[in-house]
Amino acid sequence: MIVSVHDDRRFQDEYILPLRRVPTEAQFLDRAKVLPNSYAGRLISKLYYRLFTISLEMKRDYSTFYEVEYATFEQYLRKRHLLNKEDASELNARYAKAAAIIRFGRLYTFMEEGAGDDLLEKLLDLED
Amino acid sequence: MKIRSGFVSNSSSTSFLIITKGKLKKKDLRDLMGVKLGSPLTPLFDQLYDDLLESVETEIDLGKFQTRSQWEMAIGTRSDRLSARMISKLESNKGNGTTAYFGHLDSETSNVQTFFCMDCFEEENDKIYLNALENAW
Repeated sequence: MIVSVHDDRRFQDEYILPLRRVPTEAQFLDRAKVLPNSYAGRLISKLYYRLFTISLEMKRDYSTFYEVEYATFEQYLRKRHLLNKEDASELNARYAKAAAIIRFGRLYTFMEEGAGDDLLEKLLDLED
Repeated sequence: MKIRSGFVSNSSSTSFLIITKGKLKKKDLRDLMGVKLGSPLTPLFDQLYDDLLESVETEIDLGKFQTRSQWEMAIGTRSDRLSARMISKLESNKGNGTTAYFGHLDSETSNVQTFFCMDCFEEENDKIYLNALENAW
């Protein structure tokens, strides 16, 4: 499952992915079938950094900072992230099972207009 | 009034130089860039291959030059497109049976070209040298 949301404050599309497991960087490179010390390897390492280091891990964010403020993860998604009811409900249904739920902004131009969805589905174990 | 959502910039172009022994093949470029068989990045680098070939403006057989003046005519007059690093690489490959291709990628053409125009890179293996360091906004 890939949820696309538009951030009006930053004028950009952002994505939320519920993950079955969080890979290590070595596993991510292996799955991408790229040589570590190559152009493609460096590209995949940068993508890993964007997905798992500078993204927002929403499960952790909620349990660490917002659980006292919002009684449920769904409320956190609705009020803190302004998600619509349908997206919040679908993500909430995956909350318990997902190893992580990450939110991130723009990645690379070659991943725009849907091209990145296919790549992310191949690189990650996404919740259905 | 129009509001552009997302990244806004002027256009960019990247001059490139490829030096290769024989015809450049898709697999050769994938090998150069570190893409293994079955990689989900294959479509990206195959598109780069197509874009590079379509963008070639000059093809030079580096084995053909007999005199310094022939060389100066073909290479020396192209300082508008060729950096000192590129010219040095061409010099070092002169007479070894390689072919050089140069041209430029344009960020206005496709999302793939935009990505590579925003990057600067130089890659080399025993078959290919690719210089895409010359990037101008």
